[in-house]
Amino acid sequence: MAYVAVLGGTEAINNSISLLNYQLKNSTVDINDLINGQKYLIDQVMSEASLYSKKHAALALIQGQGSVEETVFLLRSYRSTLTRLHYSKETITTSMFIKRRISAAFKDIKKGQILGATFDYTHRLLKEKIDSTNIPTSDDIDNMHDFPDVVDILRKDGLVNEYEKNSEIDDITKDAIMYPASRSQILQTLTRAMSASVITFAYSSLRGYGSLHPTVGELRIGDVDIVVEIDGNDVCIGSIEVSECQSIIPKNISENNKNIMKFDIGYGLCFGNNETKAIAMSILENTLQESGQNVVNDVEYVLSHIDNVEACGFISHLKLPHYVTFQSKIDSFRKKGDNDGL
Amino acid sequence: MLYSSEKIQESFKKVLDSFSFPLKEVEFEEPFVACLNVLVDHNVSINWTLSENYKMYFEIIETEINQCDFLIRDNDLTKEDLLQVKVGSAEFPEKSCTIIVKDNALTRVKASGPGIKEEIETEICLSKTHIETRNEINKEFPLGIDFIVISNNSIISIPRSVKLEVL
Repeated sequence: MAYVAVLGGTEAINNSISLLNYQLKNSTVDINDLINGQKYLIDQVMSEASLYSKKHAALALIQGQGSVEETVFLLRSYRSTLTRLHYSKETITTSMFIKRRISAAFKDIKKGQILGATFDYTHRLLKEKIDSTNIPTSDDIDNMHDFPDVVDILRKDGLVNEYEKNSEIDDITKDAIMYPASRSQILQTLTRAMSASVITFAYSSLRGYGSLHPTVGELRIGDVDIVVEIDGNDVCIGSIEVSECQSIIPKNISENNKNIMKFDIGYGLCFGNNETKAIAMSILENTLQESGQNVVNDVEYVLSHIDNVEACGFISHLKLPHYVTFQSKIDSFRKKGDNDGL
Repeated sequence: MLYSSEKIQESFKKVLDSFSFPLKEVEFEEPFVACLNVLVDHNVSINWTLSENYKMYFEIIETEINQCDFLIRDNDLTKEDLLQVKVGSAEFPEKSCTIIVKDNALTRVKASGPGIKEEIETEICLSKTHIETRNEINKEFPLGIDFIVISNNSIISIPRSVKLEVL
């Protein structure tokens, strides 16, 4: 592919940027408005940018004028300039401060189902004004830690297919993915992928292009502590909100020359309250490790096409001058001699 | 010594610009400190001969010369240094070494390549030996090494894609 540097047009470009900024002239949205009133948008862009900072997400949304694509691009660029100070230690999500926790597999679970804030039970009627004055009641706000893992019910009965623990964790932000991808590379790519893409692929699997219908063993949303080691000491540097999903997937496996049924667990975890993405991620995490002829079994295909910056960036490059390549196409048309109009 | 995130972003853009326009002088108040802020943290490995003070600020990890991501030298770069550094692999040519160097030598060169309109003749603060060694190493493009040459208040970049001819 050939490109040429195009000079000129500086004044037009400067005017274009001025016009873009002028569009913000009457904007009254400030950072706090977004953080307090657009939680799910903030959570989505933090997840896709893989940068957990509500303040910077809000700042980028204002600069990006609400374009998720531009906002994620800004945050990823900003992220790349940050110094990597530490890797956090392993986070145990059962110690999460629970804000929402449900299971579609078991009705009665230890410590109960916690609905939390959800759109699931709303009537989707568009209202001019929302009454936000009712203060919800809670029985036991101080006892929202240490909710047991629901899937352990199946594990204790030996019904869950167990795998070896990953010994080494890759970092896709430092090293390019080589295929076949490791599980950590798959999980990292899925968690920072475009929500819409993850959901689309998972949906295709449910509809028949993967014949997989999992049951949500547990979906939990809450705050987990981030701990780093400083001078040999474990130091909690704060907490972040995450959505975590464990899907239960029936599977036929061969054990001692017998075909038996076991359950596989698909795992999804992402920043913020992004539960649809977390569920979709748990489906893909499983399908990508299964062999099959469907798109959702093709690791390279899925992982290479679901990143926001990569996908939007490559589509956007089509706006750049392609004068040389296009001229060569016209030339080849002309040489064929049957395109007199050109 | 450690910049604010805004200043790091500004400096990053300037370093990037210097690679887009090879041999163009890009000014910084403290060129060396700016490069460290932009390029260095404890996830990259460095081989250097500079002041120990910087190590504390940037959590620098020192490594052998043949393993380092950045080779930093202040008037003491040798041909032997250059011949030992990483040049990347065919699969990952970017996994090579960038040399950040201050050099008192002055050499007149003719330069051409991406980012340079036609060709230019200019003087750069790098010895004739280092330029010729660099040219030899970069023959296997895209394998090769990149340079950031530092002066008192500016930097110039010499990416591996630039052809240099000593005059």
